[in-house]
Amino acid sequence: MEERPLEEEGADESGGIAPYYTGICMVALVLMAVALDSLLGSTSRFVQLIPIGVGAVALRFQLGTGPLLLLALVSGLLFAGSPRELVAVSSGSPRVLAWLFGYRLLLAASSLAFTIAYWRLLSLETEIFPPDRRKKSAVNLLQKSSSDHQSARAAQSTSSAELVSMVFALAFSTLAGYLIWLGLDRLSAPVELQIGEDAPQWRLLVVACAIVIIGVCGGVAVGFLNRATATPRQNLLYLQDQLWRETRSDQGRVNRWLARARMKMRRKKEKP
Amino acid sequence: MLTQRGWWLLLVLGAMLFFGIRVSFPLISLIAFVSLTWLCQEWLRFVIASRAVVSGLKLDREVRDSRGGVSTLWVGRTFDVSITLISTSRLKLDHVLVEDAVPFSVERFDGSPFAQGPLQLERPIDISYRVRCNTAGCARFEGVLVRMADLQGLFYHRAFVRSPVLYRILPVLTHRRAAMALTKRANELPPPGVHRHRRPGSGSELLDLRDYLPGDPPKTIAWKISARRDRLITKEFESEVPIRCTLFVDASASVRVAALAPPALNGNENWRPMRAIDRLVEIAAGVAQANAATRDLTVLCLFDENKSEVVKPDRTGPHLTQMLNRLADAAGLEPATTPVVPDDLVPLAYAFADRVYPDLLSAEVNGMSWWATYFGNFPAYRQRRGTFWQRLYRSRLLICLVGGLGLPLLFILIYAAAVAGVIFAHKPQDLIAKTIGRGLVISTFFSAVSLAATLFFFVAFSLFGEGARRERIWRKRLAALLVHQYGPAAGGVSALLEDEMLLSLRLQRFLADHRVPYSLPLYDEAGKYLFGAPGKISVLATAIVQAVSRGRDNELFVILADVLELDQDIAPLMRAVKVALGRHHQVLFICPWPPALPLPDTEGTEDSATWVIPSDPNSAPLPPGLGSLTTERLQAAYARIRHSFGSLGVQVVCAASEHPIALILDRIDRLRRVRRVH
Repeated sequence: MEERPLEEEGADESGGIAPYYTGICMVALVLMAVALDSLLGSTSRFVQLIPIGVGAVALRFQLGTGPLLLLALVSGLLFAGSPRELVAVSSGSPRVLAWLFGYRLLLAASSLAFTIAYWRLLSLETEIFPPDRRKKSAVNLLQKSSSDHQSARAAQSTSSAELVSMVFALAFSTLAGYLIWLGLDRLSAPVELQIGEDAPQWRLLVVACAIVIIGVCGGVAVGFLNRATATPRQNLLYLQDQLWRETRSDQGRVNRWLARARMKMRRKKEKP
Repeated sequence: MLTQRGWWLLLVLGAMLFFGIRVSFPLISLIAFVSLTWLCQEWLRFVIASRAVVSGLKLDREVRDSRGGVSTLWVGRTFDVSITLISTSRLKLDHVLVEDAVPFSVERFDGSPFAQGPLQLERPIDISYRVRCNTAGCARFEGVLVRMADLQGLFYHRAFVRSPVLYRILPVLTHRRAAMALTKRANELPPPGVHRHRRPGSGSELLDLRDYLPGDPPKTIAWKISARRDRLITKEFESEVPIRCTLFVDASASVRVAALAPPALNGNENWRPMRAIDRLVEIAAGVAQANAATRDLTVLCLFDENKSEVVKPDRTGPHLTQMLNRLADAAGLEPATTPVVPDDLVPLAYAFADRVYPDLLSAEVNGMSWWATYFGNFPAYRQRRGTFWQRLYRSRLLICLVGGLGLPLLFILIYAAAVAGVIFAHKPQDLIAKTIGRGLVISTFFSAVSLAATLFFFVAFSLFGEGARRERIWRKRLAALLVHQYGPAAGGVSALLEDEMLLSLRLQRFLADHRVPYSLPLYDEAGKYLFGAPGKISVLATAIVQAVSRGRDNELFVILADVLELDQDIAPLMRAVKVALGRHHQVLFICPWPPALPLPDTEGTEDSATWVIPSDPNSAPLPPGLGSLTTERLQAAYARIRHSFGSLGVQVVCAASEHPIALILDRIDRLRRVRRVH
């Protein structure tokens, strides 16, 4: 009986989960346009359609940088337009503030939803794993044939649970991100520092410090995790590497002379 | 951990965050915060899950044929390989791609060595595929490569679950039967494996009648004939002896080195590396099986350039299995030669090691300082004369030190000396001021030019020498791995980095141990054949003489040895063969032939021009003229060998021809029927 690769079987069973991700991308684009339309005031209505166009083109041509382009584009539109929120904040009306809160979250959540769904779709259709960085000729020698290469996810390996987890991750991240942002927004510089009204600088400093602290702590944690889960062989190699680092120059000098002597002896032997 | 996609997202979000906060655009920073929160959450989940799952992976592998699990494979047959990867961790990985490393000595022809999907507790991943064995040797299943990624492709981790298993691939089981002694020449047939020998002995068949000599046993006296002739006549009986066939099989590097054979020759769609030892093993295995079927004794002597190993004569099934195992082991060895430049071996070995030992090549346990990657030279002592650009590249540290430090310092010193000279010479004040001013400008200008030139050189070295830098990192990592595998731990890394030949030998050993085929240059820069191994001639000669000393009558010595490149050095072998012939043994010489060359007795064809010496598929074929010359040279060497052995009455046969096994069996049959005149 002839066996068939798993991915082919999966592809026959259904189109997989890809159509759902396409749908999510399209819905996210529309919601983004709606949120932008509501948040941007004076600019033309057609401007809000630009993200839909860019997103659709990226989807059509499966551009790897689609979400990045869209994020940059949204940032540009927000910067170039004159957001109504400034007016709304200045008015201070609770109804306006609630409306503002909703559209802000909608824009942030739809951007994130598009990013997630787009790249999940891309991993199903083009590639999920990064390209091999080894020397091509050597890899070709090691691989039996060109078909020994799989980079895209198989449709069979998908499940509907992905969508559920995506919704939860989206909701959690949106709320958590909003709370962090809110906390930062209400942050004011301490009087002792005497930097006056320049809150952005202070916020930037706080964010930079937070990123550095999180980065260092994360690095230490990952390093500890690596050391804790290292195998005996890895530990031995680590110790051997430390020995080499400490005594590299002395060892190098000794071995250089030895290699030179060996080479001269070999040449002498080869001479008739 | 982060893929290129992940880095770009992080960069864009970082820029948005900076821009949104700095220019006070809260919406932009909100989008960045939300996305960054999600990214951190995904990263944390992936890091913890990947570490936990990888440390608790278990692998079950079974190789079976239609009757069940097997422990050895056979040439020409197909086997099912099934693998189950089990996770013992409670955490789940969203997506993994599992790939089984198919051994190089087998061919996958059905099924896929890949499987993918989520990996979690009680939900193992199964792989199943079929392999076919084409040549005898060893198949080493290393384990499975597990590639992990999140669903968006932002994070990536790779691990290899090592579970090395070695399977012998035994030579093909032939159904060729040797011609049994079925001709009824006497009243009874000897038992299997025992053959009549027309010499006086203790057999049961009458050989001759002769006069009685004192000391002859009385029971052998032929009374009726004695009465008729009136003197005592005694009966002589034939002796019954086993026939022994001693196979001397060359297992030196010269027959293990591969040459690419065109599709027409290897029976495959693509060019495939073929080795002379495959044919030798096929012949030896065929003869051994035919002998075992007729219960004749077979002796196997495997020799290389250093030693010879003998499998003692026997006729049992376990003995046959032992011989086949030895042949399979010999066929499974990769060629090892005198040290060669390791430039071609390093990328191959690193690509393999990066796949099988990713945990031991990671920068955390096997790193290198950036200084050494940019300015280090391995080996520091130049062992080969390179091109001008290579020599310039090797001197980059000196250039940078001179240009970036030495020259500016020199200009400053000259400036200081000039100023001091003017001051101490009591020159006018305006001249002193002018000297100070102009000198400062000039020395600053030249220093700036020198620094700029140094910077330019450094950038150029970094850009154009990126490949060399990468290779330095590979060398260091491989050296550490090799020292970890083979020792010595103290000073070993530096020894391998400083001595290219030592590194080359270790790399060959590493690749050979893992059964990875690799190509080596056949000739050195002076045109000397590297695989000739003249030492094997004396080893073979000694083995033949020892076999003669242990032998009895009715022996057939079959020498399967590659001496094409040593046709001038076969004098010791000739002497040993003379000794064997002097003791009335028969000798047959089977000479292996490069797989892709036209046979010696045929005319050179166009195919000879397409012969590729190294086993690297990326290598270009030899120029047409060189191919023809190689063919002619080897054919001439074959003719000389045939002439030399022919003068002794020893037949020389090309192993690549169709009939060596039939010829050997025919010789054995003739031995059984030999009639000797006393």
